[in-house]
Amino acid sequence: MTRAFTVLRPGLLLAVAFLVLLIAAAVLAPLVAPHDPLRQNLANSFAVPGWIHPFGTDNLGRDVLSRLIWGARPALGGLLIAVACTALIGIPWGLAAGYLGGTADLLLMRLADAVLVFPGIILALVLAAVLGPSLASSMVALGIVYSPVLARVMRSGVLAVRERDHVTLTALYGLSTGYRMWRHVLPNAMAPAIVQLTLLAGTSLLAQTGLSFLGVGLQPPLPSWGASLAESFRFILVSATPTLAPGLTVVLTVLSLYRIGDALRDMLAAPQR
Amino acid sequence: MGQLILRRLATLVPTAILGSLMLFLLVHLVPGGVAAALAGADATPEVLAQLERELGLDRPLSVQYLEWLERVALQGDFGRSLLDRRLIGEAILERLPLTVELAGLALLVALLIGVPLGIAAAVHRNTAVDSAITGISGLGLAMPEFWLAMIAVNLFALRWALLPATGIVPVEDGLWEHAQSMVLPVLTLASGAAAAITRFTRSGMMEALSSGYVRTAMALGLSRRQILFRFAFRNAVIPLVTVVGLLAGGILGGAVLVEQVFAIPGLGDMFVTAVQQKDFPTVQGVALVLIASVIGINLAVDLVCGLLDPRTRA
Repeated sequence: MTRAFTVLRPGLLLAVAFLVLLIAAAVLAPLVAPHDPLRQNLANSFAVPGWIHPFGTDNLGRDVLSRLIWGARPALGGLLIAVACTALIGIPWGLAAGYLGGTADLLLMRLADAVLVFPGIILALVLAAVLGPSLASSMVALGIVYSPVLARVMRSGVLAVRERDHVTLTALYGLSTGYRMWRHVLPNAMAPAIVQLTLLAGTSLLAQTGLSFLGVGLQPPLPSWGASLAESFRFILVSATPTLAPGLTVVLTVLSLYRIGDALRDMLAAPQR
Repeated sequence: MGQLILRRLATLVPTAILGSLMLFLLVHLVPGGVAAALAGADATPEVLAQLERELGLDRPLSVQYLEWLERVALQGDFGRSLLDRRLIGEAILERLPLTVELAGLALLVALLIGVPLGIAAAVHRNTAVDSAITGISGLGLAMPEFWLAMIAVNLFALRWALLPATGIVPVEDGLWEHAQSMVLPVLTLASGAAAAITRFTRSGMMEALSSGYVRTAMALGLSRRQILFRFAFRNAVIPLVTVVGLLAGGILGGAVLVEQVFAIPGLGDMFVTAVQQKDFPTVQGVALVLIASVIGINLAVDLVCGLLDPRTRA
């Protein structure tokens, strides 16, 4: 199998296409959503999918598709917050541990073990109890919990390149440690970190949906996928249809992210084989 | 072995202390603080000050932390709930068994599903069997457990009436009924872990199967079954045990969600209620128990690895 073929496998194309579609829907939500996501119409609750409401309506007669489209905003926005936090904390963390070595490395990695002990959802819930429920703070909490995962990946990336000739040579030129890390070690150790971040993006979306299902994410009536699931589950005896679309969207989004992460890993691993 | 235990404990204790310290600081260092959250937004400074004195929140944080840790660790005293003044430790003990049963059974089921599927995928690598198993496990990894739970409730309970929808029948009311009410929660909670275990078993087995000792065994004419289970699987087990430790946190986090869907009065349900009601001592206590469980499971995992693989004992 040639490399170009591996990269262009149909599954991957579908994954990229779905994510592009989702991002477009999130950005253009006011233009593409067929209805107002907040407008209730109790006379038309639990409408079956049809022309006017492609995915039907929920318990308050709100259009499920429009809520799905608007819900892509907090979903993707929250995911970006979590990933950005993970990157901001995890990359310097792993870089420092791998590059400094010795006691600093030991302490930094022991700290990573301690943070890893927190299940992400539990930490986000503790934070929600203290700060009040908010999408941003729970995503920051997830970002913090995931950062040691990235730090470990980053550290092993650094350990792999720090003894290579082109990096040791820069020391002979008398370049400062900070400059050498930034200019020479970081770019070479970045590839596995990007793969890890893509996979963590999927994981963080799963956790985010769970958190808004528990009511500590974006607050109703604002549309978020997890909160929509929680609300329609309460009416599952009346109609199960509104529980389908948000869940499926989450699954497809996470699948796409994982697929792209796997493809990136394959691409990066290929030249070394 | 004794040395391994000692060394593990030596790294475990700092981890546990760091973890508990982070939890404590999270709850106590936040703007506004515990007292403000309790008293409400329109409380006067005098009311706040008095509340802080009553709760002992006006003392230095270090004193508060050490006292909390001492009471929890030495006396098992988690304090009282702010809501109903009940002893938190008592409530935790009451709810712990259900969650332990749910999470333990889910882990067991995940292993029973994941290991055979992973072996099958590795043995039939790059065939339709492999693609099907990899595809299904990919779906399992990407599916929120609580959503799977909703679908399961809708199909198996509401539509086909095969199993009870929500709630857990206590064991005292009949073992069979209890088992029936556990089926859906356990299966849905197991889904993610089963998918992860499938993936890890597959890659571990593929690595083992392509190794020198398996080739030698094949050359010696040993049977397929012997090669698979006496040589390959035994070597694939070690990374698998480590993965179980990593999955522990995920399963406990998932249990919090699954307990909500199935209205199971376990530890997760207690935690979510406490978070919603801003019952800080309970939040802190339950979170500590959950974190301690993850640490404990990882210790057990390390010890099992040591038992299975003499190399990791060194």
